[in-house]
Amino acid sequence: MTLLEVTLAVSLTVGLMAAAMAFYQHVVDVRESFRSQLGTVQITNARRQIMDRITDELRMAMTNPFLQMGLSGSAMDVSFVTTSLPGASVWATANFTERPVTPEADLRIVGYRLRYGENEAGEEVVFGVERTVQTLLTAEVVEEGVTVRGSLIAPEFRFIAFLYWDNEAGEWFDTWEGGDLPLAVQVILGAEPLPEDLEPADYPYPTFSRIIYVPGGVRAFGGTTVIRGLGGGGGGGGGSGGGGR
Amino acid sequence: MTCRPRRARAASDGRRRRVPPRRGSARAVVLLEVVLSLSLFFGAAMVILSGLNSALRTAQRVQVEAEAADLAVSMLSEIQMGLVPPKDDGPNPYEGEYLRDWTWEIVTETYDEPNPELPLPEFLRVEVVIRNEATGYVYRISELMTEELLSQPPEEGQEGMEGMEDVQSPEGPGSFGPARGGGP
Repeated sequence: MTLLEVTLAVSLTVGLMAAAMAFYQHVVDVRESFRSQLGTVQITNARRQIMDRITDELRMAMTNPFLQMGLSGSAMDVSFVTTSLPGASVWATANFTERPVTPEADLRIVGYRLRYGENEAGEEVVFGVERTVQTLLTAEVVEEGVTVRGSLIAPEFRFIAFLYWDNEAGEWFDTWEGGDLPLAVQVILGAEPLPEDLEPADYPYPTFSRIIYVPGGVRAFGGTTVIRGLGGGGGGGGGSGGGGR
Repeated sequence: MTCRPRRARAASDGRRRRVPPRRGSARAVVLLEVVLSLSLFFGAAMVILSGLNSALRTAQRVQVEAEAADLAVSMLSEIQMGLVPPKDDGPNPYEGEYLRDWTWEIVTETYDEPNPELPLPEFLRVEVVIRNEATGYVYRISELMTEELLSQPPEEGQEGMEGMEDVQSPEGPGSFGPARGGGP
């Protein structure tokens, strides 16, 4: 074995070990980055989904003149009448030998709120953001789990808040009641639950927010409240937008 | 003294002798194997590392996309609410530490009605462009609006974001109030 061979072997060994160590170190760094970002990515995905879903449903919200209902909400929950296009199966032609197609509602009352429960220690905790759907609008008795079905859609978020834009007052309010819709809704999401002694406005943790314009919302137009989507968008509609809030 | 090749000498002895492999050739083969295995190792490591880096960049990009979508929808909503005039503006930076890399821009374009006999209103195409300067990411969202559909802005003396400023959290990514701090 010559000196050249020894030198070459040593350099190859050192190079291989250095490369292996560098590779290992880089993998460790990436793994740490993934570990730190994994929760963030999950939250980001959930944030995108829930924001887009609320946006879609709010943009199709309407005032139901028979129920005299549009949007009803407080600082941490909201429910509103929204429309949806029935699925393709509804339009399929079925003969009498086939099972009848399950009817789908194009009008529904959708709500968002926090779901609370008890942990193993018996303490009340927030499980996440819950979406409720009521498809039978004319139900005489509204019962949770029967006429109103709720599903936990975002356990990553344990804080949700809403603000409602009253265009007449030119202000945001944290409650909205009545038979109409606000012109816009601001949705605020947070990953940590609201501390017991704090109001939603004083939420101390980082939040994600989105302002969502509601096309069916009321607006002041020459002193008259116009409810777009009803009566061709002219005149019509009663009451002042967001009164009494 | 003369040197003759082994093979020739063996042949002259009339016996077949096994010729041992030359040590130099064996070493070369081993070295070639080592170099080849090193190349394979480094190649595989590069592929794995690039995959990991790509996954990491994608994870970061998802966050940027989500933030951009929220900013864009909020800006478009404020235009539709009448809080921001639908006219060309920007790019303008957002205020606030959390949004220091973000800018917003409004681009408008009027669509003239090709057939004046049709009783259609004049449309205004409003595009909101949100940019992240740090990553170069650009998010665009646009909508056709008519002057009638644009909401009446609040009366004089009422600031559009007045009610929201009261409920802003002191710091942190996004605040309870508007995600962006600036505006026209």
